[in-house]
Amino acid sequence: MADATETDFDRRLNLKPPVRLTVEGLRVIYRTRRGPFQAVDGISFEVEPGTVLGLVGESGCGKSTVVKALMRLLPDGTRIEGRVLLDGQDLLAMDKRALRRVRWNKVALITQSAMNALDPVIRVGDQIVESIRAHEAVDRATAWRRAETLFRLVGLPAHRLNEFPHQFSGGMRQRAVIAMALSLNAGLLLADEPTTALDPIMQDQIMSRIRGIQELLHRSMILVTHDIGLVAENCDMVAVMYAGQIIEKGPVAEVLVKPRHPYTIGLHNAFPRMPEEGEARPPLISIAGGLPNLLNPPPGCRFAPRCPFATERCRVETPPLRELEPGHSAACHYAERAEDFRRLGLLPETWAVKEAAA
Amino acid sequence: MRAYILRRLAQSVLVVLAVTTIMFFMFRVVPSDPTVMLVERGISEEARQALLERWGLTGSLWEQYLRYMGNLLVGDFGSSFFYRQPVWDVLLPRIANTLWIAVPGLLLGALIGSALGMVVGWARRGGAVERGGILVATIIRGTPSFIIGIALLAIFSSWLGWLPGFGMGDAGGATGLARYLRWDFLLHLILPLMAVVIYFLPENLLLMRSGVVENRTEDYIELVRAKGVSDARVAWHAGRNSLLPLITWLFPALAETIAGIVVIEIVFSWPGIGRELVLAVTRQDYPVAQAAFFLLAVMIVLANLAADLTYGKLDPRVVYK
Ligand SMILES: Nc1ncnc2c1ncn2[C@@H]1O[C@H](COP(=O)(O)OP(=O)(O)OP(=O)(O)O)[C@@H](O)[C@H]1O
Ligand code: SF4
Ligand SMILES: [Mg+2]
Repeated sequence: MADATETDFDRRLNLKPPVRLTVEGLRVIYRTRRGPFQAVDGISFEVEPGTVLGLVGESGCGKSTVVKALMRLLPDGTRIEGRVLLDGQDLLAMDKRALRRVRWNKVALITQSAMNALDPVIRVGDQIVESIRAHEAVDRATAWRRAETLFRLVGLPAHRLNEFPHQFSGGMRQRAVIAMALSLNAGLLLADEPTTALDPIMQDQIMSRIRGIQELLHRSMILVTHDIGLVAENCDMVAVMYAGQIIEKGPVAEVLVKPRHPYTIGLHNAFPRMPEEGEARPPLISIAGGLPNLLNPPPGCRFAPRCPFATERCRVETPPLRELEPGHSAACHYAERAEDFRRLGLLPETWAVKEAAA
Repeated sequence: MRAYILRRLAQSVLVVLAVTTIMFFMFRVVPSDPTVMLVERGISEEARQALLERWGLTGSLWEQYLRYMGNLLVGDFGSSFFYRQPVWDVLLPRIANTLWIAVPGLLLGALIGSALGMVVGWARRGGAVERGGILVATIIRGTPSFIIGIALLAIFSSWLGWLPGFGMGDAGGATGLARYLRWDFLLHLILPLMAVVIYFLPENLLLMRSGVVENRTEDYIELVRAKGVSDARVAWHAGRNSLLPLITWLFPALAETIAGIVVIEIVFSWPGIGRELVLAVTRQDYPVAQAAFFLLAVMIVLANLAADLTYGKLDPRVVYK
């Protein structure tokens, strides 16, 4: 935050290191009226300090559930298993006080800015001040000055801190939410679809703002999205989720260029991208069908009902997540045949057959 | 905003005028002659006429009405038939007596009620605190104020004998503020005050609870929790947002609550304006009854106005048009 008005308090916070996040065997089971619902089923991943992990997958696959589990924001009665290590400290094992200290200090949240992401009856500035003073013994004036610095950082005029959320446009509210997430310069930022509610131009503005801040502050970050394009532009690593499981993960350059899992291949085709020189514009192909019912998950590969390459084996035997190249894993029995899959996956017929069968 | 307040004030004046007019005619069309009670039997027709004139009961109904309204404009309510004193002299001390139970009673009821509502709203869904809180509050809310009063009388006055339950105690010749700063008065105050609190509390509790329950699943609450503030602070956010519906209910509800307080005054023989109003009606003491109704109407209208303005203060999204 190289800023003429930077205070000592800002400088001290700016020294915070980014966090290393290690998630081991995370399992989340919601209690529902119709029985336990396994929204997240034993996933593991790591976020290296100062890097950005993209978490992608279609609606309902459990992305937000993972994010909430990482801050223990899930509703009462939800079972969470596994370990969530922040620099080696297990967040899931903490008592309430320790948890409160870690929240916002080490992990902060950028939610999708629907109308009510901010308290509607409290001034935006006071909400930022509240987050600072919950953790730092500074007076209101100091906290307010920090809020002003943060507002400038996200491109909002400082005097608008005095306003209420309803006086902000959607884009401004999103910036305010980002400013608040940065209030203590937490070492890990969780951004859950930060631009979904915005129009495309505003989406671009907000994403480049986030990118700029990331370059400036070097936070560790998880970017949740269902837009593969955003992952390509913003992330170092990517984890693809399907029905509560991670089915492929690795460096963005690997996973997006040479996807190994048929679902990733399909997801890739479902998003518009610029054709390469001399190449025809690739058609948009969507994957027919929907997520399996997780109240009663089917055996075998969860993607099998929608997978064009599924065999009998897939319906019986669960494919483990296997490392295929250093740092790049996929959960498909036939990941070795990925090159064929990628070629076939480009053809609409490949997915259409399945559609007819479904 | 100024224009809005002016317009609302004008509306309020109209409402009060209408109420006053209706009251005036209502008392006159009751088929009984106030002079029967007012005027001693066997006095001469001349003397009777003089008395009627003195009480403003001569001339056509229409003339009487205009005279009454004219006097009202200069703050003259006339004289009480029963006490043979200016109405103001009768009502002022009664109003003070009522305020002693109404103001602290309503404040405590609203404060304790909304605080408890926050606790019940923030408690685990479906747990003992939530179920018990709702059950007790709903039962009390459905109880008429005279039952609450009589129950308190029966328990603390008749059975346990701890507290007096009739009147305001011995004045011991004291007047003015000194009248109220007596130990005996404070003892007499406890039960009727408790009745008002208990009567007013449940609605506050239930409204605050449902507001908090509604708000606790809002997105902003999740973000507040994520910030790592204390649980109490999170509940405060939910409560702060629930104040809005509470306030919109609160002030208009005062109208109904005033009716409840009238009954409580009667149960405890508390010499307030409500009890006086009822007595005046049975005594056909129209000047007092009309003045009491007039004052209540003013209070209710002001309460509504206050509700509107407070709402704007509490909810920044409200725009006055
Ligand atoms: N509180 C809850 N109780 C029961 N089930 C829930 C609860 N919250 C979410 N779910 C279910 O868990 C699954 C995963 O939800 P989640 O919100 O994590 O998905 P998501 O990947 O974030 O989707 P989206 O892209 O739509 O935000 C969904 O099937 C959802 O219906
Ligand atoms: S395991 Fe079988 S069904 Fe699952 S993705 Fe691979 S090929 Fe398709
Ligand atoms: Mg989500």
